[in-house]
Amino acid sequence: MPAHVRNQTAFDNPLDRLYADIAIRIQLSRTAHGKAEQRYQTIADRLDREDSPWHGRIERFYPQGSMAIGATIASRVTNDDFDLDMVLEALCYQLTPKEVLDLLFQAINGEPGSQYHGRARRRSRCVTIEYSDMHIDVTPAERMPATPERQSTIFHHKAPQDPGQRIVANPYGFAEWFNRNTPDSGFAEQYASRANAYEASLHVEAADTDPVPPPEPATRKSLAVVALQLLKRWRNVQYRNRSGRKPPSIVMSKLVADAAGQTTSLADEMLHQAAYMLAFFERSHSGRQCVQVVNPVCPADVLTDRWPGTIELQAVFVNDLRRLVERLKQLDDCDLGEMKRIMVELFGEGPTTKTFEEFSKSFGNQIERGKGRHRRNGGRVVLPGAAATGISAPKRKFYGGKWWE
Amino acid sequence: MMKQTTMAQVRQMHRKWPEFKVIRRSRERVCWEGELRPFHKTYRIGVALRLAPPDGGLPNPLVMALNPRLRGRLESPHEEIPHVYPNPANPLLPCLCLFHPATDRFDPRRQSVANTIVPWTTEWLACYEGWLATGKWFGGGVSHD
Repeated sequence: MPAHVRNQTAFDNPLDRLYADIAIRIQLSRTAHGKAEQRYQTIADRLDREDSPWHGRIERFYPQGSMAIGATIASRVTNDDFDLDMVLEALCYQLTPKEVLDLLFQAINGEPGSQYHGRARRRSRCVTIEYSDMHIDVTPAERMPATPERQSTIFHHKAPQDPGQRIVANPYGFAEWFNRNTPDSGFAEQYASRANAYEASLHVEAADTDPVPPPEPATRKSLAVVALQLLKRWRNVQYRNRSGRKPPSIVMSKLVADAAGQTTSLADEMLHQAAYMLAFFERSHSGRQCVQVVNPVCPADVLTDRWPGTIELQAVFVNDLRRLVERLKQLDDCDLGEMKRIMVELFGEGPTTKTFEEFSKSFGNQIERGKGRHRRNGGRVVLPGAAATGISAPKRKFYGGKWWE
Repeated sequence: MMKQTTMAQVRQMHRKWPEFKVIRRSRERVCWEGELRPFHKTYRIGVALRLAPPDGGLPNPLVMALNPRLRGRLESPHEEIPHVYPNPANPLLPCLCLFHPATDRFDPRRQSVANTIVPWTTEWLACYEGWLATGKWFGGGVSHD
């Protein structure tokens, strides 16, 4: 490998840096992650109290979904709310699905005046607890004996007269499979360090009001996980004004893990993942079939059981994916103005605008101080903090207006 | 500092920026065209240098973005591009203001285009792209106003 390539960091390329900085702005921060873990524990303690109907039934309480694979992003386009998921593995024998879900709701919601009263909502498969900055879904599950580790049944109940049904699932096994298929590399360390620097800058800004949290271990993410975060954000932006279900995160996670490990940069990974996802959907769609995706460690766990449901709904997503691939290809031949417009379309206004402002300020300040560097071949700007060396230009001031006046 | 001739300027450009080709040359004047790519967009740039001071007090050298041409911001189409000045020969190709005429004046008989003008052009293009994205010119500079 040539020295100039070997010495590059993951973010020497402007597009890689912009993608990473948008992902950092939408992901669950280490502070919020720590807060979520404390809340999980509080919920578990509450359910296991002696006066709780769940006392003595609880086997385990563990994260599932995005929290278990390190891919949590803000759940809405316009705010920083996060949806987090927990599995309550418990002994539920002799209870119908309706009774399990009702019992969990009663235990969490509690009496008027208690901690979660009025903040819990009973849903068809879980109970959601609403906080000001996040939602935590607690899904009750019962371990299936003589099956692979943590394979369970979860409970579905919606219609009042319907006793509901048990559904086979293994979210733990899925997360383990996903993490095995998306191993981190040198990229993970550089991304974590960049995310830490960003979070530290937020604490400096808020230092007057918020105590600085104790240092926590950095969250390491592979290229595929960061690409998944950006793809989920893109999906949220596309579906923000549409009614009905959106493509489930777990389906996108499965496809991203299937296609992981093929690229060495975030820009390449984004295009590769989007193209793979499009090809996967087009294979079924061209035959007028809805896709079917199953949990690779538990084939009875059908991940597409609630979406797309119809060819028409699938067609909407296929068209979105086609446009996504087209836009991602355009990004490699764009000025920053065009690039920002495309990224606003893909990832929303807020994080994109802030990212481009910071990016432009960082190299602009360097140039103003006479510290700008560039590569000789083509004049590519060497970005602040990049490992690549470059040559510098003599300091001077830009001018403006009519020269001869 | 070595004394610069058109021959010396051409040699240095050839060595340091081989992608820039001479398209016109005389004893007192030389023009290059070449490509610069500060980020992900490639610009074809024209540089016209005179060893003698040009007529009418025009800056020297003249540097223009030939393709793509400089454009305004779509978000505010009436806003003028910062740090350019009109090109009397072709109003569609404004010239880049790369340095302050009073404090940083470029002396074509003493300074090298390859070491100053081309690096300044790539930095100018970077700041221009930042302005396209944000509406702000972050590279510093002095406004004529």
